[in-house]
Amino acid sequence: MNKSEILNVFQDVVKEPLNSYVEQWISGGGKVGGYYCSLIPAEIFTAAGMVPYRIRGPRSEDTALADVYLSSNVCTFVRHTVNIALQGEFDFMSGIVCMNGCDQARRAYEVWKQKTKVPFHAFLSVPRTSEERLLSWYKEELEKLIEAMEKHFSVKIRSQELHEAIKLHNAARANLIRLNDLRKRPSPPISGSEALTVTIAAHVMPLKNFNELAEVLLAALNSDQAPRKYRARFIVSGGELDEPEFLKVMEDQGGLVVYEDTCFGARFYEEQVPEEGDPLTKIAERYFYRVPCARMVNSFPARYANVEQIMTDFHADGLIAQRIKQCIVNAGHLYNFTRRGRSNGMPTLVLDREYLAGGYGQVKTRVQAFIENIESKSKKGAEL
Amino acid sequence: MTVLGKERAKDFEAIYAGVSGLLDRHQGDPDSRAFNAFLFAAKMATEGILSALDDGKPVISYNLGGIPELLLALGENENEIFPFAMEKVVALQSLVGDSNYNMESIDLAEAQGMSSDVCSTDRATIGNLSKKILPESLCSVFVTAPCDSQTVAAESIKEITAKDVFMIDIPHLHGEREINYVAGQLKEEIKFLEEKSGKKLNWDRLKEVCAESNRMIDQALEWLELRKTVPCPQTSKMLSTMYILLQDGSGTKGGTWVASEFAADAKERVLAGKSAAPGGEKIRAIWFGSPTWYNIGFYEWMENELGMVVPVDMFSYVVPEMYVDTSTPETILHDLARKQIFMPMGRHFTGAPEYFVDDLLRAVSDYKADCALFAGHVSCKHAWGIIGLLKEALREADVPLLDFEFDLFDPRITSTETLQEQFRRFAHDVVLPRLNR
Repeated sequence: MNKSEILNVFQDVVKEPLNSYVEQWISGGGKVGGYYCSLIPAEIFTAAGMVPYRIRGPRSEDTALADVYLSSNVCTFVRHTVNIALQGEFDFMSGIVCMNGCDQARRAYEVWKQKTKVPFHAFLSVPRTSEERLLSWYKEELEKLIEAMEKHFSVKIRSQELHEAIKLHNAARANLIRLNDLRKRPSPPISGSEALTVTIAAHVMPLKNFNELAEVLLAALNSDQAPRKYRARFIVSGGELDEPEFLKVMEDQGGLVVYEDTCFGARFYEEQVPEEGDPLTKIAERYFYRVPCARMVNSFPARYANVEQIMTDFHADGLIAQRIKQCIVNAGHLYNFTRRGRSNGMPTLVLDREYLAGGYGQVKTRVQAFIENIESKSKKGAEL
Repeated sequence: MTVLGKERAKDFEAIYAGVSGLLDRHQGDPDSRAFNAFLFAAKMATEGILSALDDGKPVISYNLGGIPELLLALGENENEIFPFAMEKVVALQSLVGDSNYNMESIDLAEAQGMSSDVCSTDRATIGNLSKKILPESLCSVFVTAPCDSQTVAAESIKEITAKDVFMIDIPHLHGEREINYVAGQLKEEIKFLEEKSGKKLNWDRLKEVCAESNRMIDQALEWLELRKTVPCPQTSKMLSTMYILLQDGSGTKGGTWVASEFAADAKERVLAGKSAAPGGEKIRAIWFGSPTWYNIGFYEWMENELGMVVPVDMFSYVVPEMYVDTSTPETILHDLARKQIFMPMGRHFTGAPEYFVDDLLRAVSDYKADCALFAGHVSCKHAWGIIGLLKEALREADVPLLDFEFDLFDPRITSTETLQEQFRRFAHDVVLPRLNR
């Protein structure tokens, strides 16, 4: 398969709640475990013999069922995903694991638990700061999850299974890291919206299949030296972002997204789990200490330093910090991004959006203006 | 205008003038004994902030969900540290000052990039910090309760002040394992406070402070018991002030005195057969959610116009789990952790929905209420996120519910007139016809 054929496969995988790979896995007797947040280690599902599936809301057009339980005061990401669940379209899952990622997602858990047919439910209480003093609590929460899964699914999740799972997930992460490294090139062989499509696919399909496809794709991309035209390179930062079309809108204006500092982006694949030592401890440490997200307090300086480093490594011209409206946790970091940007001069565009809203008229206008602003400052546009 | 002989930030003058004026107006009013006690406490609190600003007294800040006991026990002598509940200024400004100052602070925070989705309490506090009118802290201690807004505000406050923050993580559930988890964090907090303040925790004083806190809980529980009387003896507007008292006055003699005045006033009125509703009590309602602090007079309108009284609300939901066993340092930390978890609002907004729903249903039963009011502050995503399950539970229990959207500090979201219309319809079209059946 060539590059565009593989990308088409990944696009098919991400466009529906139930993709053909998962369908095939289930028809072979396999189980699927859903989860909501980057702080829930997907390795545990794999070790239980399940396919981890990160919940998202592809193709959703309505939130009417979810609004009955959550009201319109809750963010559209949570409402769309709960709506799909209430429609029964996530009934292919054998279980779901949620956590206190934010006030809204933790309320979604109750609706899943009480109003859907998904039979297994578990909840992780994850500390809101990744300080060493709280790591043992997080690990205990993972142990409790394992115990509950072993009991419900009649499986054993021992060191051996966890080791195997770590290897499989590390291989997927390695592929995504290699893919992302290609985006450092002056002419990256893949656009931001395409790269995000690939990363999303890794969240919702069996990783064995994903790795096979990703390796072929990487071989094709490695040899792709075609020049790519763009007016400015961006890092996109934020929380939930699983809409490649949102990045495409930016790229259609002449931008090129070279890195996603988001939950469905780099937060998924940055940093491996060490394959030596007690596997659960290593999993807990990797997830707990990894570059933090907006829900973690005392995290912003480290996150900002990371963003500055990425700006350098990926030769980015600007930062687009975005969030879904009503998302409180990301509102805090966006405020901090704005303050830092004003004081240190990093070109920063802050965008609010709705999940699956389409259209993006305002986004187009604001991104165009942002690009013009960057060009006027850096004269980069003159090179085109 | 000057306060204590010195020029002040206008914002504080508004609070000070407001509380002084209200005290003058209500002095000697037998119907205002409890409210006067609260006003007196508010005046003292304002003077405390002003002297902290003037005298350069070491200040340690804490947030809305927090409690002050550990801070009160730092150092050899009493009052070596001024524990400063940052959001108190916003609450006082709204209740006894000029809420236009809160509007200015909210607008300033938004102009600087803080989303209007974040709670107005936190936006106003961030605006106040930007105005540089709050005392400078050595450091801050925040808890992750009651909500995401409070939690993310901690990070932004740290960005603004560049002062270290100790974060107490409040877990999802509220059982013994979780209490021990928080107690462990309190031990770490003590180390943090000692390092930042250069003062050792005085365990003997902590024991006294906790004993004083217990006396306040005694008074609060007695007060709530008296408010179960039919008709409810005391105006509904007192309820939400209990939260300020718990947060700011716990462990202090002044706080205990105010709580005892609340109880004494209620007792006096029960004995005299007085009702909170001048025209007679027609409807008893449980108010769960945030109070209408932008217009505290709304409660009196309910009582006067609709005969609707609120015997208990979420902010006054004091429970025996808030007592502290002062026997040993271990029991103190364990029970302070439990108190922290069981603080009103935090107890209801964190964790599983049944913490909210069960307390509301229990209150309906214990206080012989006719209906429930879901006071949906727009930023309370955790509360709106259970509205469907709450409606189902109340339908099953045959309890009429009014749910309404507003902002507790910002009248621009829902005006008093709009709320009044919703309450009128609910009372006349839903509740009274049921009661008259």
